[in-house]
Amino acid sequence: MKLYDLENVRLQCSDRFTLAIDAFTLAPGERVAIVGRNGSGKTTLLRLLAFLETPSAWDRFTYRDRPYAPGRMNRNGLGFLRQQPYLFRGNVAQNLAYPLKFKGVSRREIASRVEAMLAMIDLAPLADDAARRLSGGEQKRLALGRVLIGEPQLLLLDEPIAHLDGHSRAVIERLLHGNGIPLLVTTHDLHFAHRVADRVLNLTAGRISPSLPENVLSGRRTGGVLTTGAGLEIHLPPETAMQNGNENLMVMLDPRSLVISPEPLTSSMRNCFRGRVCSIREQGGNVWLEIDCGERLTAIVSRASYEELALNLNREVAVSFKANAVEVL
Amino acid sequence: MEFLFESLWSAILMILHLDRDLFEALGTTLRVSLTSTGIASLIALPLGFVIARYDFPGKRGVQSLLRTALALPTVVVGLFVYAFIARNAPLGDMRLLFTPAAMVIGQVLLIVPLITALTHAALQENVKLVHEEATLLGASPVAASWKVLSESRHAVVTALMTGFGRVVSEVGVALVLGGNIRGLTRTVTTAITLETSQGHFSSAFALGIVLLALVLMINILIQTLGGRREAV
Amino acid sequence: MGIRTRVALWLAVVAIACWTGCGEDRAAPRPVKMTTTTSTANTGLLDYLMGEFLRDTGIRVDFIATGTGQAITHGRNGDVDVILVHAPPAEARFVADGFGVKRVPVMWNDFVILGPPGDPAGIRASASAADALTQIATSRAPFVSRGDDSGTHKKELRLWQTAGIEPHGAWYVEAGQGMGACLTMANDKLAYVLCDRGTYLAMRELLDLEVAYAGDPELVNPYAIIAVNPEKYPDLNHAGTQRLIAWFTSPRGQKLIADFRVNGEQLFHLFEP
Repeated sequence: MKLYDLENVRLQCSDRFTLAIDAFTLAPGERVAIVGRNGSGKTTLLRLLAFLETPSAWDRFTYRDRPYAPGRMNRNGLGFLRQQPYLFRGNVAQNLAYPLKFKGVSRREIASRVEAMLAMIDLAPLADDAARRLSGGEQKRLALGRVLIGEPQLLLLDEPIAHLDGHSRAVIERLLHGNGIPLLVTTHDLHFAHRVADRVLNLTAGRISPSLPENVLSGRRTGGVLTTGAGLEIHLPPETAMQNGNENLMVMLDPRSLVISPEPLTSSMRNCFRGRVCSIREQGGNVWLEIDCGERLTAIVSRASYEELALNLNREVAVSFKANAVEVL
Repeated sequence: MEFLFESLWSAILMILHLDRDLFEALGTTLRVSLTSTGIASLIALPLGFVIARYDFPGKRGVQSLLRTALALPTVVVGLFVYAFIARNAPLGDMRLLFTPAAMVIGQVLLIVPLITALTHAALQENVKLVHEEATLLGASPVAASWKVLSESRHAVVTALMTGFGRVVSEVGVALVLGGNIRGLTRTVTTAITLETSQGHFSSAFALGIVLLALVLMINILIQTLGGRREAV
Repeated sequence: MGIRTRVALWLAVVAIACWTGCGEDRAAPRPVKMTTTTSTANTGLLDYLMGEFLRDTGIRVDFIATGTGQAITHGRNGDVDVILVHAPPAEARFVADGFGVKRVPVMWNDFVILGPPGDPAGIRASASAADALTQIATSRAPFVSRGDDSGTHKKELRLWQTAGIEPHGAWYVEAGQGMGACLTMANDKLAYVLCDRGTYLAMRELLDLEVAYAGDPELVNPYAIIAVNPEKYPDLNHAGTQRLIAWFTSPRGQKLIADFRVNGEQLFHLFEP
């Protein structure tokens, strides 16, 4: 059995782009993280999988081996945490009890399960507080607790730790590690993705890539410069550079935006590194080069320019790209 | 001017004397208005929910139709219903004209658009979010819709009270369909019309005071019942 | 409170409201429905008579007081079992068209022309009602007309016709309201107004208006009761209606009408047998 099996599923989510899933499966027990920048379609993908959006076309779309039928899907056992959870009127305990009320759970059992969950999400002292007066992190914990208390067999989590305080982050990560429930989680945070999931996928402009995208670099930002683990100093686009302070950051470079030249260019491109060609392969009429500049960067060049450059392995070249070509994840 | 003070005094006297006509009219008003508000809410709340929650072709048309219906004069509603329940009309066999049931039908028609429009406005902002969240947490369709209404309960109760206020205070439907029959279809408002037409201004005004006092009491009752357990 | 409790409570409220709203005493005989004019209802005559009728026969009469025009329309549509009105030509047409069984005269009172104290238009000494109206029109004294197709309104129009005047202008106010409302309006505007004596007497204490002209035989206002034709509308309460008409014309009914007093004055008179 597969939890999800999607082939060629299309969903027009805005004028900007279409969510287009060529192939995606989720096996029982599998934990998958999806990373991608804002607006890449992560939330839409989760909503599609929770049957909250109707695809415009699909070749195959099954859930627990049952074919998708709009408006007829049984969501039993499916736990969904939205990025901005909606908490009901009433207090914390009432919010936690809500999913249990429909399962024929006895009052006494509800009380004990709510109490146990309050401890797990570390909100026991706030049980009688109005849910909507909690802080952002507490609200997120409560919302996750409200999902987990129904004992779901599959979790769809949209950015569970984005913009949270350290304590809430820790509580949520502990909760997610502590259970073996299959999950699909979207996140900005690649480290978190690797900690919580077995498989990390990338979503760019509505398309899932089977592996991490090329040229994903993480490091520490100081002002407008990102210093990677290998010491590469990358100039960031102006809108990021304008933000003050330091933070850990992940960026991505489109392989097509890298310019390869025998010698460093005198141009407006602010990023320029020297490195050695360490792999050359041809794919789809283009040539894919891997260049080791401390970090390994992948560049895609046309066949014509490849021949013009007369490259070979181990040859030293310059890699240049604009600050604006850096995508902050 | 002095008739206003006179009225206040005669209102108190009427209540103290347990004036039979007054209490009959009050009883009819309450029975008819509560029944029509109850039935109208059973239609209008789900309708308002559906219009707020779902997109369907012609939705904008329905919305502007509803807003237009808010301007319906009560007498026109009365005549519209009359066209259906007059004896040679489709429902004539039921002999509904000049009965409380006819008034209820007219008043239901009168306030269904009102309550629907107000419910729609009350739910519009949150309905999709709340409904999805409740559904994802395992609520049945009915329970999820109920959750939507109860999350906006203040506005929903206000919508219902507005509808109730409209039927309690209207004359047109009650007069055209009820006929102002003493002891049967005479409501406080038709009694007020009658007293006014006979020049008994002070007793007409006194009836108005009693009606307001009654509605005030109902409002307080609802507030204490519903407001007690409010959190955020 | 759980969801189910709430739903149940709400349904209970609705059910109770329905039950009380629709509860009618099914054991009692079928009530008779009657449309009538404001003049019989507003004077209190019908409350008094129908109370007696209920005591005598156990039959309740639900009467709806409107203008004669609307009263006859409801009769034509079969909405009511019987009508009690005062507009002989319209009644004749109602019967001739087959909607009414038979016009049964019940009682009469008379119309009076009321005017402000002092009779500014000077109509007191007029030779006839039409003369009086002519006098009002030429002096352009304000006049309030019912304007609602009621019996009184029809009467007024016939009087203008007799006088050969088509009234219009700022002095001629068409109120479109019941008798009581028109009296209040005339009182406020210091206007003349045609009124049945019954309503005037019932409201006299509230008015400064005085009787400015009365006594023309033209101003006699006969009331008749007419059963709606059960051949047109078979499910009418014709049996109850027949008892009502018989009671109205019986010695007891007639005596009760003649005994009816408002402020010590007799409002309705009997036809000589």
